[in-house]
Amino acid sequence: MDFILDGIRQFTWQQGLMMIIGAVLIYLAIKKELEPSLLLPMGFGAILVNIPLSGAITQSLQGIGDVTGIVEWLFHIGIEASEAMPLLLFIGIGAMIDFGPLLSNPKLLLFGGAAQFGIFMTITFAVLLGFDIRDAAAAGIIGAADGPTSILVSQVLKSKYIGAIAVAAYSYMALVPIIQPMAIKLVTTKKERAIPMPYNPKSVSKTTRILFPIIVTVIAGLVAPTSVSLVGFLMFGNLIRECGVLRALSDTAQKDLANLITLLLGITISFSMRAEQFVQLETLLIMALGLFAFVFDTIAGVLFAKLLNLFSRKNKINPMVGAAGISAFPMSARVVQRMGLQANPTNHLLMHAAGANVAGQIASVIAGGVILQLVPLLLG
Amino acid sequence: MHIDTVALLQSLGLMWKGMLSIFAVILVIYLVVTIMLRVTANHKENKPQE
Repeated sequence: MDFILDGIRQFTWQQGLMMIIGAVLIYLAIKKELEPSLLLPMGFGAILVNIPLSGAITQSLQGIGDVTGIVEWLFHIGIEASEAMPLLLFIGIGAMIDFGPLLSNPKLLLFGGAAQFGIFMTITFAVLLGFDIRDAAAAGIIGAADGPTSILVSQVLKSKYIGAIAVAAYSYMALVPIIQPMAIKLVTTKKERAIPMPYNPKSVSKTTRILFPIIVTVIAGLVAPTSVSLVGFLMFGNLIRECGVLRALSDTAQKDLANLITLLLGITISFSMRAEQFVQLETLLIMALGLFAFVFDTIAGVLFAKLLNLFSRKNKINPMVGAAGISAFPMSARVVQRMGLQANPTNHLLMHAAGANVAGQIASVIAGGVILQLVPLLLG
Repeated sequence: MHIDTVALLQSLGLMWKGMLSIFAVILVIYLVVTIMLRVTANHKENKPQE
């Protein structure tokens, strides 16, 4: 009857810790509603894969050989082999994005670019902490504030910390309403936060809306060909939305496809939350680096807006709009709107911030593609 | 504390090349979108009123 005790005998404190972490993720998802669609499956998956001899991961059975576990299989097929899951999710995200506020004021694109600086600051900082360039780049990409991009880049770069990176990326995205106000207040005065920005949108033709995703894909692809799958799938989703003749497909991409992939992505990522891989000091460092990246992205966006204000006498930009250049949509735009109203009750920044926010979505996938282009060159 | 100067220099190189590439792409997209907005606006103005 020894077999009954096999599982209990092999239980380690690290697995117990991972189960507690899984329970905390489930708690945060249900009680605090922090990115529940991702954190709940990841939390439950963390429990699944850390049960000793778990059938959810591949086990070698005496006399039979290897028996494939479903979570491990999903990870190999959906993420490791082709990065299919994060990429397919991009179709859904692209179909959800309305680039209208950005197209009516294309200058906002610049904020999306500036707010990626934290990624590269973090990479340098991670290198100083002793991470190799591959893991440093994977940690830095958490600053893209874009879960699928973080997963994809860390996977392509074969980082050991994909689990920690996914947890950090999604946790911090959910914590944007707490992290960003602190970072914004560090580098702005109340007077700057109260700068009014009237909203005079230019009309955007349907042709522009249709051509935009195609043009972005071609331009990004020519500069960073490795970004084609990332940018291309995001823009493919957007083209389906904007073309006007694929309403049913657009609805499916926005709802069914995005929900289905999200459901599977969380539990699949949990494969990289096995105790032997996750419970180590570096995991905590990765989480800290992710926070660093988020804060510096926000600060870089704000400082860039302040820099532009130095060259503009009229039509000053509220520097908080720069902070919305990170990819966390629409949380970041909402934070800026709320803080703008706190500083000046007549100041409505939502549409400017939303434009910068969708610019951040484009810039974050470009940043991911650029990193995938440059890091392999450094590795020789 | 040991600092890997080679990796540090690589990361700094990655920083400037990365930001330059991102801004290059963003600027080209900005220019193309601005031109498209102008062209489509002119097109609307030139369209005869029905």
